[in-house]
Amino acid sequence: MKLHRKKDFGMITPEMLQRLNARDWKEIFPKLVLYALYRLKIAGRREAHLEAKDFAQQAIVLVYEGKRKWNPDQVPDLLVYLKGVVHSLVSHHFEVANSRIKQHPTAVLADGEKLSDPVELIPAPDQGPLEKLELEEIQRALLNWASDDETLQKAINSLFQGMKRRELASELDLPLAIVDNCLKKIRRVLNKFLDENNN
Amino acid sequence: MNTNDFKSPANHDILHHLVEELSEAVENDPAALREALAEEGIEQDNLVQEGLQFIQGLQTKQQAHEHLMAAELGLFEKVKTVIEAVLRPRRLLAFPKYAYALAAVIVVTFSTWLLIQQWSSKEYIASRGEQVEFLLPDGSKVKLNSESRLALNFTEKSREVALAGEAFFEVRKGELPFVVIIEGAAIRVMGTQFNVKSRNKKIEVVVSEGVVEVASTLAHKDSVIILTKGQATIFRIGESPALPQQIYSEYPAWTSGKLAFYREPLKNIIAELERRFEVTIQLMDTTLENETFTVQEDDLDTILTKLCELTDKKYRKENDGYTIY
Repeated sequence: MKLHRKKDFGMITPEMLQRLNARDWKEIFPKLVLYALYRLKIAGRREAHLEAKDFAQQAIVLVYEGKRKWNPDQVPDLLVYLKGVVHSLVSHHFEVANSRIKQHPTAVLADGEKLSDPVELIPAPDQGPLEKLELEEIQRALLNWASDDETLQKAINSLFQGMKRRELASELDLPLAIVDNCLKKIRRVLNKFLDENNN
Repeated sequence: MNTNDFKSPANHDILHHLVEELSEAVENDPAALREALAEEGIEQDNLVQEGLQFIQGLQTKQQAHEHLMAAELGLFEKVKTVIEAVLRPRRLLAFPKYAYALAAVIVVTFSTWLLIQQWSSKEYIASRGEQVEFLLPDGSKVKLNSESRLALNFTEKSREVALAGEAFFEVRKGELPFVVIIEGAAIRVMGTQFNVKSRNKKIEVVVSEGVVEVASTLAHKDSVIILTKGQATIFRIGESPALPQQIYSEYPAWTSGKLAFYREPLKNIIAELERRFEVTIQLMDTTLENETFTVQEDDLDTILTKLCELTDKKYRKENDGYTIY
C-alpha cells in the first residue's frame, strides 16, 4: 500500500518522544485500528480489515516522526489526535486514487493543524468512493432494523442529526451505558450493511 | 437523493460523526472492542502484540536519533578529532606536483593503518586469501574479510574498534555504545549485526539486525544517518552517507563463503577476488575496468566464467593467477 506523504521531515523533541513512549499503546493501538477499519469501510473498501492496521501504523509513524505535530495542550487525548490523522490519511489516499487537481479548502484538525495543501486532489464527480453509499439509504436500513424499538429509532435519528453520545443520553434521558449499548447494536448492523454494500 | 448529495460536506460530516460515535461506544467497553475486532477476523491479542512490536521499533529508531544528537556533540567530535589528527592533509609545501600525488597516495594508503597503530592495544589481521573470526572482550563476534585489519580500544568507558578493510560485526548488547571507526566515517550501535566495508575510498555499511548510526567524520553537513534492518548506505570518503537503500539479502555473501557483487565496477570485483583467493588477475582489456556487473557465484572459477560470459572474453590460468583476455 502506498500512502501519500508530505516531503518535509521534522524531528520530535526528546520530551515529546518521552510523552509518546509513555502512552498506553496496548490500549490505543487496537482502538485506532478499529477506527481505521470503519473509516475504510465508509470509504467503500472491501478489504478494510486488511488495510486498517497499515493506516493506523502510518498515522503513528507520522506522529513519531513529527510530520504530524501532536500538541497535548490542545488535544490531550492522543487517540483522538491519531484518529484525526487516520481520517486525513484515508480521505487523502482515496482522493488521490480517484482525483483531479482543483482548488479546495484546506482541512483543519481539532488543534488547528492543516491536514492538506491548499491545492489538493479532490474526488472527480463520477469517481468518489463515497458515492457507493447513500446516507438516507443507510439511515432507512437502520430504522427498518429497529422498527420495533422506539429507543433505538430515536437514537438512530438523533445520531444522524449529529448528536454525540452524551447528548443522546441527555436527549433520551438514559444512562450513558444504555446509550452505548444502543450504539453497539447500531454499529453491528451498520457494519453488516457496509460489508454487504462494499461487496 | 442523488449520489452527488452524498458527497456534500454535510453528509460527509455525518458519516464521519457516525464513525466517531460508534467507535467510541465500542472503545469504552473492552469486551465490545474485542468482539468488534473479532467480527472482522482480527484477534485482539495478536494485533496488540504486533502493534507493540511496531511501536517499539519506532521508539528505538527515535531514541537512536536522540543518541545521534548526543553523538554529534560528543562522541563523534572525539572520533573526528582522532581521525582528523591522522588524516587531515598538512599545509602544502613547495614541492613538485608529483610529490603531492605521491604524498597523497601514502596518506590514503597508510592513514588508516596509522590510526590502527595508535590504537593497537590488540590487533587482528586477515591476510590475502584468509578470513578470520574471533570474539571481542565484550563477547561481540567479528568476522574479518581478506586483507583487513582491526584494532581495539576497549576500556571501562569505551568499546571502540578501528577497521581497515571489511568486517561483519555481531555486537553484543551492552551499556556502552560500540563504535567502529574507519577512514572517513564512524559507525555507532548498541547491539546489532552489520557489515562494514571500507575499500578504495568507498564506504559501505549494511545492517542485518537492529539500528546503526553512520556518521561521516569528514563531510561538513548532513553527516549522520540511521540505518535499520535490511538497509544499506554506500558513499565515498569525505561525502555524507547516502540515503538508506533497501537490501534483499540478510547477510553479506562473503560471511557464508559466497561471492556476490551488486553493480560493482569490474576492477573492484577483480580486486576483491584477488584478496579473497590470494591470486593475481590481469584484465587485458582495461576499457572494461569501470563497467559494472552484478554477479553471485560460489567459487572463483564459476565467477570468472560468468564475468567472461558477460564481457565476451575468455580467461586462462597462469602460474600465479589468471588472465582475462
